[in-house]
Amino acid sequence: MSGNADDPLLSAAGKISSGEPVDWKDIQDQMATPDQAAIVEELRSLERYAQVNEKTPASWGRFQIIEQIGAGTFGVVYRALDPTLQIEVALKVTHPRHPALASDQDKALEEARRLVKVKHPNVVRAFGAERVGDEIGLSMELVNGRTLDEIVRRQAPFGANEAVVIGIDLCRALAAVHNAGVLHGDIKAHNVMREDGGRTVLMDFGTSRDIHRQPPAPGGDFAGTPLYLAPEVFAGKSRTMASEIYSVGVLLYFLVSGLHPFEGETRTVIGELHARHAPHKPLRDLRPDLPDSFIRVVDRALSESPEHRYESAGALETALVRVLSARPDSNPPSPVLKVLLAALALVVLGLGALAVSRLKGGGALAPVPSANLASEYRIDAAFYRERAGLIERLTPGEKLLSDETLSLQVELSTPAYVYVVNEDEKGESYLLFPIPGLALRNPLPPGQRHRLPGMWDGEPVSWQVTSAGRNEHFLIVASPQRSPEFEEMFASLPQPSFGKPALKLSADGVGRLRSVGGLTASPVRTNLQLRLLPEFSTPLADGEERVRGLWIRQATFGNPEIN
Amino acid sequence: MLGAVTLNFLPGMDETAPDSGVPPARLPLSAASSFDLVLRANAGEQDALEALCARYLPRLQRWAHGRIPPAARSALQTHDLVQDTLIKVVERLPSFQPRHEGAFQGYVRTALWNRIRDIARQYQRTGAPNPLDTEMAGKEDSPLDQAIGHETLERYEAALDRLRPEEKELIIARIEMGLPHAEIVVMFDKPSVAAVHMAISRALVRLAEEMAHERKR
Repeated sequence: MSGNADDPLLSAAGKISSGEPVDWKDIQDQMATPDQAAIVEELRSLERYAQVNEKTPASWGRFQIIEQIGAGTFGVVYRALDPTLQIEVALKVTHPRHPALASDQDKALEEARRLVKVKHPNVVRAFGAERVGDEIGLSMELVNGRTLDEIVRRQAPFGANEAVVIGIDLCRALAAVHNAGVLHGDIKAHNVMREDGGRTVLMDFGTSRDIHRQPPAPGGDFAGTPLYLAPEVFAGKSRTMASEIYSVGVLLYFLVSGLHPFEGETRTVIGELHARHAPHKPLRDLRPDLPDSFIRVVDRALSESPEHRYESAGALETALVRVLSARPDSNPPSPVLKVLLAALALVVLGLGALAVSRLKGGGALAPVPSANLASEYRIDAAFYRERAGLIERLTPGEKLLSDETLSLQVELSTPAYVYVVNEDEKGESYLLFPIPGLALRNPLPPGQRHRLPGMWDGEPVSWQVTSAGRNEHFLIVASPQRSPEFEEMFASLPQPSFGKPALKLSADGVGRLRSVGGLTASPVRTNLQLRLLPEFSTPLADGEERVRGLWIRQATFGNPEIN
Repeated sequence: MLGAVTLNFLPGMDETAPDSGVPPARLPLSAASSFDLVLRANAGEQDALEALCARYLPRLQRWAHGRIPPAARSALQTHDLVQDTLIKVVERLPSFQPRHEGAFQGYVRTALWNRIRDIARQYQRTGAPNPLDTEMAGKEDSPLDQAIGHETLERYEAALDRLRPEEKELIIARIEMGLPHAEIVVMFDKPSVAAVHMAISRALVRLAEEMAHERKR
């Protein structure tokens, strides 16, 4: 290589290092051989590499930028380090669309002032606003998680219970916003995040305004997303608390269906639907499994007339709480599972010895340590059927077939001890997880998807359906803390035998295991298939329970005799 | 950002200081160079370790951000991964004597890159979904993959490993970390910005030559 500064390659490299533009055609023209031309091509790759860093500034004001996490017409949102507070923040930098447009800066500062007024755990927290040159930076709490829109689109719509819980959180947030004299202005699934751990957080006050201040252009209060906009706003009225209740109704509708009550490509199309007083597609047609009480609440929130909607966010919250408390148990636990659930309740109440004795008839144990609040962590779990090299998610009530294999996928936001119990119609209960000898053990680490029951000798194994027996009940229990009582209680249940390699069990041997609980090699190997599975976050059943730090879910599948 | 402070006052390193029996003066952490912090952290000074983490975390997170597919970022907890790697590197420093801060940065970068790859392998071993799986490259590419392409990145990594240590460290500092020349002068104990500029330019040409050679393989 030449060390000569006149060397065109060195000159190009120097410009890459300085971030200056390079005249690649000129450089390429000076190359005499294909080898030199190839080096020029690689230098061009290195230029692109260097430009990746240049796109994101290393700092903004006193903040150290880590990465860009969002962008819009307003500007950019960064994950940044606040060196004073020594915490990571979300830094929303607004730059004027034109140097003369000082109003953009004013808007950004007004957003900051309004956000600071609202203090609620379900509303993103503002730390402060600063001006650097003609840009305004609003530093806010950094919420690690995903938007509700992402969850629904990338996974699947929510079950009614989860949607109700999110709705309750959102109503509480909105009540705090309204109480501070602010209209959010853009309630939608993009602007609500589910933090890792389960907290619902209302974000983005970019289109917010004071409740009592009229919009600048009479008859044109069109800020916000048309899909979520109330009919009266399309008709030229100003946004109100009632129009925000309508938006919450749209959000609830979207959470359980993945669709909006009025779909349209443009604002005009949606506006025309409202102008014609067209009814929205009934939620019942999209989700026949939803409880009537939930649909009634959503329909009332979506009433065309603002007077017919809930009068406040608090009133909507109360209605949603009623849905939750009145929800009939669609899959009542079988007798043995009821005993198990009762025993779990005793354990969390500190009556571990009684719980274990109820299950196994005796024994005295120390009290269980208090568990974390269940609301502080999040667990997703789903059963999958595996056959013919394919896997598909099981929904409650589906029929299992003999010789099918099952697995459970679990993802946690915190390390947790997970137990899976199966019971058949004969009333026999078995512990399906954890299974001694398999690679997967408690506590399961967070932040990755686990496939239960686990691996044996480097191969994934599954539970096998080996005989028919009307119904199969499953209970999944998770706890962030290890409890000796749990361990003993679950250990008292029989487990699938694993005295010899599951892969080599004879048909007879497998048959001697119970209806579900035999272990066999998984017919599905590719990670790619697992990763493309949709609907992962949908509840197994609307039966999720959270008892003082425990996460409990029950699911029932059919397992009919085949004649 | 990084102070140009010599190491003369570090215990055991000041061979010329008279043995007065009085402990040598310690620079405040805020004024200490990162290299100084490395040595003090390695000597068990917890505050120095925290100060070092505070300086390096943002740039390493930026670096890791470019290499982890968006879908996997939350699962991998980039912040924790970076912090944990940094602490482990400092713990291992007795077996590694960096010549200057640039070498330390290159060492941390390699350790972090290895951790990210380890996680990918671990996912494959356990049969769990692998967020770093190249099968998903089309849909879940890292920002860097999107910018310059997966094959080019592979050529780059292979070629980078064939450079001399200082060439590699300079490329990491300027191209990967995006550090300004003035900061690199301090990190590498170079006489001037011009010297750093020339050294990086030469390293870039060497790297391009190696990448072109890699393409022929």
